Amino acid sequence: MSNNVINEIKKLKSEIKPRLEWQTLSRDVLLSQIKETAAPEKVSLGVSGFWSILNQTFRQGLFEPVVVMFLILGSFLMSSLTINAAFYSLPGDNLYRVKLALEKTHAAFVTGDEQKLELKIEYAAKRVAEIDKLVAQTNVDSATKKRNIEAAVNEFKNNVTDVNSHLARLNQSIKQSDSVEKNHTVKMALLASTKTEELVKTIDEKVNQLTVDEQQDVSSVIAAAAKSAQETSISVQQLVQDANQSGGPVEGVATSTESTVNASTTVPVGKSGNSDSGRLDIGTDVTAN
Amino acid sequence: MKASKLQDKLLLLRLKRKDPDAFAKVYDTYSTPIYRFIYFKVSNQQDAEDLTSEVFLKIWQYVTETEEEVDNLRALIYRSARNLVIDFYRRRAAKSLTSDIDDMENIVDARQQSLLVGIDTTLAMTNVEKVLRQLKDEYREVIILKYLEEMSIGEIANVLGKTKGSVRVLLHRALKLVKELLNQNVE
Repeated sequence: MSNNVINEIKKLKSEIKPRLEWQTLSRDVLLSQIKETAAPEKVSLGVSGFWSILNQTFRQGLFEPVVVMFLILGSFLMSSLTINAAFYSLPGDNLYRVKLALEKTHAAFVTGDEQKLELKIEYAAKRVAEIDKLVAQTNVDSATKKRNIEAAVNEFKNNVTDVNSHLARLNQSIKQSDSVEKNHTVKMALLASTKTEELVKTIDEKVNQLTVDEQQDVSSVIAAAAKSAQETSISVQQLVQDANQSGGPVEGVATSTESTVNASTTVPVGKSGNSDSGRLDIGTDVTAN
Repeated sequence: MKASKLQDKLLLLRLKRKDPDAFAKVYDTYSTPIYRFIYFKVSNQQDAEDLTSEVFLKIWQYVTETEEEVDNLRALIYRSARNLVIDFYRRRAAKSLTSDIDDMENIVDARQQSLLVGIDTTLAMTNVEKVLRQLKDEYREVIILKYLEEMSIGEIANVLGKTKGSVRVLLHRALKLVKELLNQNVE
């Protein structure tokens, strides 16, 4: 029905027309009326005329909805590609800072102590994976390689320091916690400590693949990172002691604490005896990045 | 960009440079649709012809004198036609208020004549045309611009000085009313 009506309306187009004699006469009259104000010679548009049309068309086209949609889509795609490229970047790459900034932003949006701690350790593990890749690089000169490895180890140290700060905050809050919560926090801290030590050990192994000269150059930053890992163990020791003092011994962690503390004195260390007491799934596979 | 739009831009630029050939081309392109547009508004062939000529003269004066940038020649011509029809009715209303007795007699004569012409015209009208003339002005405008002149919603909005959304609403209501009136006429 709707189409029929529209077709009927469209038929009027051929039915309603002006009289041909009037149309011709009116044209002549109008042309004679404008004659006085018209240009005396034939008008040529020239290059400037076509340029102004092109310019106007472009400006109008720019604001056409389809063009705007493509621009939005394009910028979204570009930002997605940038984030993706940043994700695989290494120290020395232009997008590495973007990667670190994205990690910080992600951490800021995570709630819950356990999740935050997992994320911080995951970032430390990513640094270890980066070091692994940097050590394996053959297409860069020795100085650049050392500089990049130092940058990655420094970032690793920062990540471990973050873990320490987090543990210190947990230590403050543990005094007000009930026994179940306390038990959970202590286990979480012990696992964090174990994982950190494992990562330091992995770095040590990776760095051993470097030449002697390169090893000497990065040794000071490695030592600083190892010190941070030791501080993690000390923080955990403190946390466990406080937990025991405030509410009696925490179930199933005394032995683990001892082994962790003992291990922490000789960083880089092997795996502590606590690995059976449950595992934080933190994706610390150093080759996964 | 459509070829007609590009052609309009070229014509507009030549008009600005006071090219009489461009004016002739504009007249050839738009005299029929503008006549049709005005014809539906005034219902009198003579008035429609006079107003159509006036539209083109106004367009020439405006484009050659204005400093403002015109981006759509077609919309400008339709807007100009619309405004001239409004002025035409205003003038007519003012004239009827100030006329004396002689004028009144003349008007009666004129009305009688136009009534006769009107009867002839009405008889010649198709059913759809009659229905379109029953519509209020804004409904008739959107129907003519959309289905007779095949303008886009954006162009209609430009001519009528309305948003695209309100043009769509107007068009929907107008078409609905046309259907209802056609059904009534059939019954």
